[in-house]
Order: sequence, then structure tokens, then C-alpha cells
Amino acid sequence: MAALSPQATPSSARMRLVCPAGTLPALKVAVDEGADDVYLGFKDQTNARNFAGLNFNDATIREGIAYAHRKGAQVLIALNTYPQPHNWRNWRAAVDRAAEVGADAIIVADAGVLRYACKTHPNLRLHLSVQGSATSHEAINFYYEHFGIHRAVLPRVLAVEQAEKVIARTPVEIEVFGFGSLSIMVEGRCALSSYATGESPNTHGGCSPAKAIRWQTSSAGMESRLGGVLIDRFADNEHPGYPTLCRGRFRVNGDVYYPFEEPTSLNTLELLQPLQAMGVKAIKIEGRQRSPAYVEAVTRVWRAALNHCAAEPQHYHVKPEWQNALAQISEGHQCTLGAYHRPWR
Amino acid sequence: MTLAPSPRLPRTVQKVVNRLPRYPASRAFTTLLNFTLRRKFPADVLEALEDHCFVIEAEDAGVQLMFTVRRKRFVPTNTLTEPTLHFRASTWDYITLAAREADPDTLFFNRRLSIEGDTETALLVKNTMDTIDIPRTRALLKMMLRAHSP
Repeated sequence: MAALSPQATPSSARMRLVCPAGTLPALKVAVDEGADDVYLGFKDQTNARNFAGLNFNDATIREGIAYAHRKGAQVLIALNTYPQPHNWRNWRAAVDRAAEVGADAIIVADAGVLRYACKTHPNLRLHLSVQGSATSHEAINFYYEHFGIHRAVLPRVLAVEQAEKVIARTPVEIEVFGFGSLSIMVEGRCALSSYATGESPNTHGGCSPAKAIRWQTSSAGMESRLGGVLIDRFADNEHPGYPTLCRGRFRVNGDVYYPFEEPTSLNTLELLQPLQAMGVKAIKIEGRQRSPAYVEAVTRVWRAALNHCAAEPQHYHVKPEWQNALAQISEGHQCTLGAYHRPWR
Repeated sequence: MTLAPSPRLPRTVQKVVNRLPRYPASRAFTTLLNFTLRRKFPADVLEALEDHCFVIEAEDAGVQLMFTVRRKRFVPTNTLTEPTLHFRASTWDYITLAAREADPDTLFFNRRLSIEGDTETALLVKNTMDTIDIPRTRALLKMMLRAHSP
């Protein structure tokens, strides 16, 4: 850890590191490598990473919370999908389970679930999920006034200056994404994959349900299909990404290209100092579907960067070894700053 | 960014391993799986894998390990029917995965790990493997990787 300088950031202004965990070993390694918060989900459609074999049952979640608390970290449970009238009870039960196992907060997108949690478990801290798609201070303050949300995760569509204006106009803590796979980011409102699979990520908990994905190798190359739709075809020297429709390569007016978004990863290491200065409370790392090896590598880098940024904000700079470590585990050909640096509004 | 290429097996080792008959190698592998991992697999996962056929191919060694799950045990097979899942990687990359030194998605993005077949089953296997803690075996594998790291 870097030595504290006279300009060191006061502890109240330091950004928390929020890391993903799809399994108990991933949670443990995130905590060991210095995560302040670890977020996870139950084994069902109440969270947006509802994949076979992933996520936590009550026994592993209790063990995970006990492990995190022993080491001073907090556990946030993501209940960030949208219930339907016929299965509303599942989300209600999930809120009750989260409160019962001792989660430090739940991350929620749906207003009905927020209302239930607020009324039934008034001491359970509420975070507004990125899936809530609240991009303005008016929207965030609405959730604050009605449900008492403690923190909101900003959708990945705002430029740095826009995020700064939101922070200045709300009493709610603001969390932003720092690293991980990017899509077109119509968060909480995207139904694109349902055209190919019949299932929406916001109700079933997965952009591309595994049962609809098929990888095949032919003489033309390696192909990924979603619900029978050809998403991409990779030559031997090309790198595949996750097979989602928004990152598919299609023929449009005779040209083959990525009409929505190229497979890329967000990496905001170089923005840490301004993000900290404008009052961002927490940096989120994407990737609950990734392995403990990924969580270990990414948490280690971001802990070092956040420590450096907090200890010596005036001299903060991105170390090449951090970028190198993150580039190796990124999806896609490149890392970008996403919307944070877009000149257009 | 592309990962540095993984070391290949020495040519002499390749030649020896290449001559090993497939079935006994699969039998030895499933014995190892049953001894080290079977009890750590949740019962519902073993049930879901029942009668599915798996092939693990170490390309540099020219080895194909073929097995299935019967009555919640890993059993070698000699069948030529299409497997539910066919994994291909180098011996080195398999060891880095088992040691948790590498991330499977990263190897996949870099064309170092190929998985063909049923994606749902692949995720179930991958995510279940991620839940299993075998610290002593992993420490041993990590020592081995350090000793032979290029």
C-alpha cells in the first residue's frame, strides 16, 4: 500500500471497491484481495446472472457473509430483475431471504420490489440497480424520497460531466462501473435477446440463456448462434466474445460489421482521480459469471489503483502492469472508456 | 490483447503419451476424478450429468479422455457417439485451469480453450468446478507450474 501523503483523501471520500462473486471461492478471493463490497445473487431468476451452476444457496451465502464480515467487507445481494404478476412471490421471498441471511444491502431495480423491501424490512439497506436505468438526479431522488435508497448505480451511458452533475444534485451515494464487458447498455429496458430466444434478460435473468447458445466449428470458422440466429463467425485469428445479439456481427446493406456494439470491455482506471474528486462513492467491477481466477486478478489491480488514488490523488497515474493484467482478462479486442468520454450528448 | 503462448509438452513426452491406449488413460482419469472430486460435486449436478458423454482432449499430447457419469460416478467410455461436451486445450492450459491460475473465459476468448456441445451443460460444469475448493491439490499444481514456467 502506498504511504499516506499530506494530500491523502479523507476516508469518508474514498471510493469503495465493489467486486462480483458467482461462487463462494470467488467471494473469498475478492475479500482476500481487498474488495470493500462483494455482490452476488441467488440461484434463480431474481438476478441478472441466472446461469446453470452459478450463484448461492442459503448455506453458501451465510458462509460467505460470515467470511466477508470477519474481514471487514460487506455483502450485497442482487435482486435486479423484474417480476411478473404470476411470479411476484419469488421476488418477495428473495427479499425476505436476503434480510434473513443478513445481507448488508440488496440491489434492486423494480419499484414494486423496492416498495416491498422498504415497507417489510425498513432496516435493510437498498441500492438502486443499474437495471433501474435511472440516469438523472430527478429519477434517483424519486427513489430516495419514496423508498429511502442509500446508493444508486449509474447506467453506463453518462459522460463524466453528466455523472458529476447527478452527484451534485442528490443525497444518494453514487456507484459507477469501473471495469467489465460492455453491451449497448439499454439497462433494464433491453428486450433484444427475446427476439431470438423468447426470454428477456430483465425477467429471466440472462441476456443469452445458455440453452439457446450453440458454438460450432466448420470450414467457414467458429460460429456462435443464439436461438438459431447466427451471431458471429470467427476466423482462426479472431477472438470470440459472449454471444449476445447486441454484440453480433451482421450483414447490413451488403456490409458485414458490428451494427450495435463491438465486443469490448470498459476500463476506467485512467478516470479514477476525477471520479474520486467529483464524489463517486463506489466503483463496480462487472463479472459474476467469471471464475475466481478473474475475480482475483481484477480485484488485485483495482485495490492497488484505488489505494494509490486515495493516498496520492495529485500523483495518481495508471501503472502499465495494471493495464496489462486487465487487458489479458478482458472480453473483446480492446478496452474503452465507454460513454464516459463520448463528446456527443 | 493476446495471451502469451502456453508451453507445449516436450516432444519425447508427446511421443510416449501418444502411444498410451485411450481406454486405460480414461480409466485412470476417472479413478482420479472419483477419488478427488466426486464427493465435492453436489448430488443434483451429478444427477444432471448422468449419461452425458464428455471428451477432454489435450491437443499437444494427442490424448483424448472419454467418460460419462453413471449412478453418480465418473465412468470411462469407449463409445464413438457424439459427446455432450468436447473440450480441447493444451496440457499446460488444463493445468493452469485446475490450479485456478487461468480464467476459462479468458482462455476461450483467446482460442486457447475450445468447448463444443451443449452450452448449458458446459456452464454447469464450469461453474460447479469453480465452487470446488481443493487447496492442497491446487498448491501442488501451482508449484509445478512455477517450476516449469517459461
